[in-house]
Amino acid sequence: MPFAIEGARVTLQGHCAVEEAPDLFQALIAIERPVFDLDQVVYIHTAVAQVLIASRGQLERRPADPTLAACLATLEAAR
Amino acid sequence: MNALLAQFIPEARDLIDRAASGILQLETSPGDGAIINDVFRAVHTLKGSSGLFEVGPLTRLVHAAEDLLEEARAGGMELSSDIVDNLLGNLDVVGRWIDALERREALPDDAEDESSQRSVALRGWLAKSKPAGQPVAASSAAAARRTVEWLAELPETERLAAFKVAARRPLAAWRFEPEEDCFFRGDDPLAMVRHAPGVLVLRVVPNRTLGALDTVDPLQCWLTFQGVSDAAPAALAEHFRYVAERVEIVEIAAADLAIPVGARADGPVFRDFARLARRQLETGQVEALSNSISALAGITAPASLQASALRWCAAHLESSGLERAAEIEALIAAIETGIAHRLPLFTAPISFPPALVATDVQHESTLGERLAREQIEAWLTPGAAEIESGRFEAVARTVRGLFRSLGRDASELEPALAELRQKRDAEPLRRLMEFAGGSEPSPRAAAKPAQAGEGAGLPRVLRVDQGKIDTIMNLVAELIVAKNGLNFLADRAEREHGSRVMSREIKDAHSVIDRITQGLQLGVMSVRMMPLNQVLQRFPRLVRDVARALGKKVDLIIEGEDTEADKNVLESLADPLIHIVRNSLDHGLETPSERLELGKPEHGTVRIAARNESDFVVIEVSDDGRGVNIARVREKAVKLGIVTAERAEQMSEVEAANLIFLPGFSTKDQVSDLSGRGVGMDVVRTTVVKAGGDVTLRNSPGRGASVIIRLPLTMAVTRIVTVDCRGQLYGIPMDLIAETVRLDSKAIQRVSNAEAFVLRNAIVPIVRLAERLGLDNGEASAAEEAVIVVSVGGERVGVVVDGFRERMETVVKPLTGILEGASGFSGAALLGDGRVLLILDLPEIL
Repeated sequence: MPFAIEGARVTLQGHCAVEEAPDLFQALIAIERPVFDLDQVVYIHTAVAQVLIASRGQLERRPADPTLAACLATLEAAR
Repeated sequence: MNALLAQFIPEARDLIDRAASGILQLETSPGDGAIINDVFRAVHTLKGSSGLFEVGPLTRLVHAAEDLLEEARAGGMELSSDIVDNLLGNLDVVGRWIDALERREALPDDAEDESSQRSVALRGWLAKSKPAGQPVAASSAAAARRTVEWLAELPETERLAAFKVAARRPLAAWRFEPEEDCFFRGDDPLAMVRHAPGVLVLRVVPNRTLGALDTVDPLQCWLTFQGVSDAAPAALAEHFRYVAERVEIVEIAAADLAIPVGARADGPVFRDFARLARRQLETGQVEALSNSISALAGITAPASLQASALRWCAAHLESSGLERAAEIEALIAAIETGIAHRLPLFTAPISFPPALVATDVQHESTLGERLAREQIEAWLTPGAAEIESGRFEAVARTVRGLFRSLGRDASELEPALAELRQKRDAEPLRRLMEFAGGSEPSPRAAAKPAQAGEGAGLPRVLRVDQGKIDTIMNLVAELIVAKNGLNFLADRAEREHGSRVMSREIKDAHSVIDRITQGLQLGVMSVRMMPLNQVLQRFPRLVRDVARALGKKVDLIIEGEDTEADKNVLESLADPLIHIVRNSLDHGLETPSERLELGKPEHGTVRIAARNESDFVVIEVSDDGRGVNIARVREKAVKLGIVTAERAEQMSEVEAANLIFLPGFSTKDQVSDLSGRGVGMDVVRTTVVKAGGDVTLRNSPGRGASVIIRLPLTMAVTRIVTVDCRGQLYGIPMDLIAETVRLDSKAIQRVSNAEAFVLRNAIVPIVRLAERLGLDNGEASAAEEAVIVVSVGGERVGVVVDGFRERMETVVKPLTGILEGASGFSGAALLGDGRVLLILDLPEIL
């Protein structure tokens, strides 16, 4: 599975395809203030990125890819 | 060639033809909604289909044309003659590109440049039609201008960084708002943005207010992407071509990024700075100005508007000194007042306006449906297990792309694809494809699942390579020849073997095969029959263009465009017709002022009328112009040495008028651009005669002229009469023969050294075939002569032969090898008993 959850810490890695978005979405609804580790991520689908943004979680480790980084800057703005 | 491309090419040509003829109609009846819609749909479909191939310049040019038509359709602009010219010109270019695509599966090398020039011109018309009120910059007159509001929302640090990287280069600002349901089509907007060329700045914003997480639909797209790229707008347009209607691309200058943002700070220090800075700016003290700026920046709150303006001042100075004095001056004003007067952001939109999603367009998806059906079939064909998933992905990708390019609702596509993959059940997907005609499923389609691959409800048209039909035609022709052999066999059975019964039975068998062969021949010929419309549809355009070039006013009337003829006949007809029509326009019709003086209506009329006459197709091109000046034709013919002066005097009006078909004849002294380069009507006649036809001229001086072309309906099978001449058989095409007569040799009169006879009160000259062919003329004339009266070039001539033999249908093959160019013969045919029959080229012999 490309995402792992330990308490409030959500770690994504590798490629996160559109199919992950509903699962991640369900998982995040149960977590009050998620903290994201995304430095292992190679690429995430737009739908997954949207779930992360909508969760208003805290981005602790940023993705290396500049496009993803720019996209998730919205996450910080949304908080 | 790629099978998809092979299907696209003829479809594209049809669409281009349809659009062109619609556009022409629009010129005469502007504002006709049905026609505009038709043209729009053709262009829209062409754009959609072209998106499946690597033909970016073509897609973009067609897109620009579509925008213009969209505006016309919405009533925003009228299609003037100039615009019509422009649109037609663009369709010609697209037609040329399609030709290139067919030849080498790629667009010409200059397509990119041509596409952008032409698109700019098209968008120029569009811009002119837009209401005034948008700021217009003097530097680029035609292009519409608008500001890019959201540029100021980009983080200043990123704008500054981009400015420094590309201070002197043009940039492109773009905004991409994906459709809500794009995930269902397999789109990943972020991936698309990630690979966009030259991205310097990227901002991703939700396009709605976000509520709590559980109120959000995870499979709806609600992000909007804004970016600045260091890339040509054309490259971006190419990158985003599949989502063109959701993307706006605007060319900007780096200086357009210099927008100060922040809260206003107050204080007298800013006014003092402004006074000082302006003086420094005027006197060109770069270093002093730079020092003043950094001094003030040191004491200004960094988040204030003034601090931001100071940073941009510094960036300008650093990148280009005082070159951008106007921009610096505006920034100084912002520092002084604390209000950022937005510099007018003058930029030409290169983009696809977002309003382009044409909802009421019926998506024409004949090509699309065929493609989808083929993809489904491909997947259902069993293949190796290890490449199964790869194969499925390829199929799914194409189908998704198809849905996207057709602008179809894709929400049911993924489940249908899943069914296809897991259960190998193609029904759900086929049902989805069936809805192609409109967005709603028709009850019939929903109730009755489509039969596998049958394309229920569509006219069942088969596109077949012409070569295959020609092969069948050749086989039928050979069958006809072989069938003729049975007659010879029957004769032999009776003569050599003395079996009359056998002979009769063979003849019976012959008549059965004959009937079937005739049916077969008719069937194949009807496949090759095309309506004349194929040739005639280019004329409205041609007449319009030529008439405009000549400053004449012309109405074109086309009659009988449904008349059918063999494809080869049509092809041989096209060039002569163009020449004749051009001649009518150029030489025949008078200018509007001349016509008015003559008491004729200002508009000249050119009429092209086609009809069937037994086994011929007859096309008559007539005009109501000045007609052929017979006196000048005679004069000219004498001057050119074509006929002697006395012969010219003796000629009847009709004969003289037909002189214009002789080689090297042209009456107009001034050679025009359009017709009359000395290769005139003689070329027309040669072409038509080669195709087995004939041309004549009917002239009424002062009132007009008509040129009448007669062509055989089909060229594949020729009916001939065989004649005997000194023991040798020759064939004469039946079309040329008016009648056959047996003549008492005393009835032949000698007129000096020529012979003639009287046939129904007309003198018909006589030639002896043996003499003309250079055969031994030893035999004295018999008491009775066999004479074939032929009609060549409108004149009747009697040809004396030794005897008539049977008539037959046969395939005439051109002479090849060492016989090629043998004068006097137009070809050869195989006789039923295996002998070779030479076909006489009578027009040449006589």
